[in-house]
Amino acid sequence: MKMSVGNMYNYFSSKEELAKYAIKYSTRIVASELREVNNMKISSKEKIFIFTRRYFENVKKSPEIVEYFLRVYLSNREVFSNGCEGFLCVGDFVTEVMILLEEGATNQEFREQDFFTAFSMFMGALGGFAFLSGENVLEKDLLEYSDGIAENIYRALKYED
Amino acid sequence: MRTKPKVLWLQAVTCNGNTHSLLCANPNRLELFFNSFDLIYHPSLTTNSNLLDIINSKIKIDYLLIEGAITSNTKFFSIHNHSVKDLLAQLVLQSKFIISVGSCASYGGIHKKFELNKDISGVKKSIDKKVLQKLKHAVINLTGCPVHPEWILQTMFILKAQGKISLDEENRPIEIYSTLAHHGCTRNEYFEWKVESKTFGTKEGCLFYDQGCRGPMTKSSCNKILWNEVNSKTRAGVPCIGCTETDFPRENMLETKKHIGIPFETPLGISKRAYLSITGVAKTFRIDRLRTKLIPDE
Amino acid sequence: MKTVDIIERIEGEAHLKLDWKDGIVSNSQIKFLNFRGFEYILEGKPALDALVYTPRICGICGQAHLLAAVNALENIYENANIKLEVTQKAKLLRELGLAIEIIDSHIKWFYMFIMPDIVSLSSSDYSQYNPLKGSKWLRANHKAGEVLKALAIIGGQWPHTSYMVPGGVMSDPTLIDIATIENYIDQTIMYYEDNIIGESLDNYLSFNSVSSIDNLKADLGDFSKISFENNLNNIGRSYDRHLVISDMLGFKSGKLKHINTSKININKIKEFDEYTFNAKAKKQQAKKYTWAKTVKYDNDFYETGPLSRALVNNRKFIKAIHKEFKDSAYTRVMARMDELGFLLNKCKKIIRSINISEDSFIKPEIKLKDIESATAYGSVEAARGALLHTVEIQNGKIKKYDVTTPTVWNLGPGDDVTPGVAQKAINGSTTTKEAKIILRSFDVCSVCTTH
Repeated sequence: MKMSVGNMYNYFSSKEELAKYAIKYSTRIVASELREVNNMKISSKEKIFIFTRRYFENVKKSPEIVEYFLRVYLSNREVFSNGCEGFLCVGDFVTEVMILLEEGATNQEFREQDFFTAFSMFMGALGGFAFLSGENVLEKDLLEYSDGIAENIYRALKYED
Repeated sequence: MRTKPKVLWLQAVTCNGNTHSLLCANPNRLELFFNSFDLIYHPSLTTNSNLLDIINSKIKIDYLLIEGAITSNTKFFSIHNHSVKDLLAQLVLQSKFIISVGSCASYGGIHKKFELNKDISGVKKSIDKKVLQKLKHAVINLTGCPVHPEWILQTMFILKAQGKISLDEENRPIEIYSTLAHHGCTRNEYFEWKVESKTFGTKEGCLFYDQGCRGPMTKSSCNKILWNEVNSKTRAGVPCIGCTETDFPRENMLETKKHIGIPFETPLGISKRAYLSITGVAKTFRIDRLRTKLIPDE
Repeated sequence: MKTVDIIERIEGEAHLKLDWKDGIVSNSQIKFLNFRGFEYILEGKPALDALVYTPRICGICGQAHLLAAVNALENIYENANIKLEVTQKAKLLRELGLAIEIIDSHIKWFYMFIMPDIVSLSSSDYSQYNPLKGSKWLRANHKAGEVLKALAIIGGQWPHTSYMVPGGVMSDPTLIDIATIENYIDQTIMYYEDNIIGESLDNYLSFNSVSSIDNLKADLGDFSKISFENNLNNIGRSYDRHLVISDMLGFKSGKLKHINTSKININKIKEFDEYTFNAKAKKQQAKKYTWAKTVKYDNDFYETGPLSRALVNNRKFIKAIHKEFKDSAYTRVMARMDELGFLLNKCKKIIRSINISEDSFIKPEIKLKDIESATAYGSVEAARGALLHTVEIQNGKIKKYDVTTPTVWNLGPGDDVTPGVAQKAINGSTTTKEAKIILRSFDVCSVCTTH
């Protein structure tokens, strides 16, 4: 963000406050992306593809945000336990995923299943891949994998008679 | 001494549940009702009058109360050898206020599901359009399956006192149908904090998430004016089935329709996004008090 | 000569067609002309929705239908060999609901559906029984409404709750709730003692001879006096064959043919529709005259209701009255009002044996929608007699639903050679008034009959 560390602490009272803010900030970005996609009048399948692409575009543009989430938030949960409990800081984004999944099942594009298994399918694929890209092991450009990932997510959630 | 307004109660395609609900009214209020109004005919209660005589004499009826759905199909339904639609048509011409008592009379209710009879509808829909236009007072719908006795008594008493009553877009008295069945339910705190009833048969927990409770989407006074003066279904642990709304009866009324664990319908006027956001936040905070039994086991 | 009279105050309407020969009724037909089609409505519906639909077959006996439906659905699990547990507490709360509804029904029936007709036989002043205004009529309604509050504590409201569900009940009353329920029963007992029998309940329950009729002061005393003045104890006799379908509430299931009681086999109950209208027919065959079906047990017509229950269960007072007056209109009414005392007493016993620490509901292991196909039945003794629900489900949806109500047993059409139960009772009447009172003595529910 091109700001000195010292200067940052003029805005945040502690490392913990900074951490929580960073999570809310990054979540808000992906949440508003997904909300835009959710509001599109397209099939749920198409929404998966478009959102996956946008998510990876964000990862590509600001890799440090995803890095922060994966490495700091997940490993230091106790830092976030006061004021960022459970749903609180990632709520916007989880709500949008819920809306995407519920609409897909209502349209009979996705099959019925437990919410958490469906959620983890979605987030696991996206988050896991973002982690891989951070490890610099991918052979192709990140965006070239987007449709393949989306296809896998879709097939895992897909409705079956 | 002024003569009392004349009331005629017609039973059409009905189970008679609204009559029995009326009889459960507070006895003092019911006695006041019988003394304030002249109930000239009720097929389950009166013994000294004949419906056809009343129709033929064309006497003025102040309040025509109809319980049950209307049909012209005399193969399936007739009253005194006449089609109930014909009898209604005649009675309407001699009546001042027309009140549909219960969901069946209001829009067909349960009986609309009988598909062999293509002609079943509520009172308003079965009145000839020209006649409907000329009516001085709009048909009043008291939806409910059954209707609560107070909804009948309060409507009658206000009409007697004021000569008019404000109606909502379904022609229901606004003052009775503006609240939701949800308002006043003793389980409200569980709804607020999203503490669901995991099964039937508990004093604790909200019935919205799993047991199909329609309280948050249903216009009624069920938790404001108690049933039988003592209770309500949701207080007792029985989910509201939304019987005052025109989509009653629905399918799978005793379970909540969900997709991937997310309720298909949200409380009235609340967007899915808003509902899920609030729910997520509420569920994040596990309130211990709300997760313990109200009355500990001995 | 033929006459047709329209009968009201029978939860709907019926047409009583009488053939007269030499001043007496030679043949009778009871025509139920209104059909709402519940059996058709239920086809294709999810099985559990029967708990919402079936109470709405009837406004006065909806809970009996609810219990029959629950019994049928639980029988599905049984027939599919799936273990289903229902606690004793849940069973008692269901029985209590059923009993309370019957108590309300009997009180209302006496004062609203028959006493106005009885008092009109007398020239004395019985204006206290006048509908809507008479003090006895109003008090009866008041007290009936009060006992229903006890049901509202368990079910949330009356009419039309669905508090019974496969696996148990939906409510979980507290000790104070149970004590309050008992208060309402006690109030009703006081009313019964002061206004109906004019005797203490304990004394009344020990009556065992016809001479005890003289001990009845109060309203049953009025009824008895007018009945004897008008020969109601000698008219309205039918086959004197009685059927009780369920053991609940201390009734004993069984049938009484002549003197001996014996067990019931559900498979011997058969419905016929020779004289019954066909819902799908464009034009009805000429011989069909009613929507009610004909029902027989083992090829015979049987009466069902409070008299049948009192006889099969050997209740001494009614047994004595029956010995003297057989299955007359008078006996039937006395049996019904006697059953009020029996049930009030039974309710107290039920209440005292409820253990609130038991679970109200135990979730069935499998949902009905996961059962491929099954047939089952549920039977209940409702206010008016034996009630039977038969259901066939497929993949959780109702494929077929059949309801046989008490009034079908009592007022259904006969067959080609034999009149039905009520027809036999009415044949031989010398006046229309007599015929109507005999009909009423069966406690008719028109909406249930045709459903």
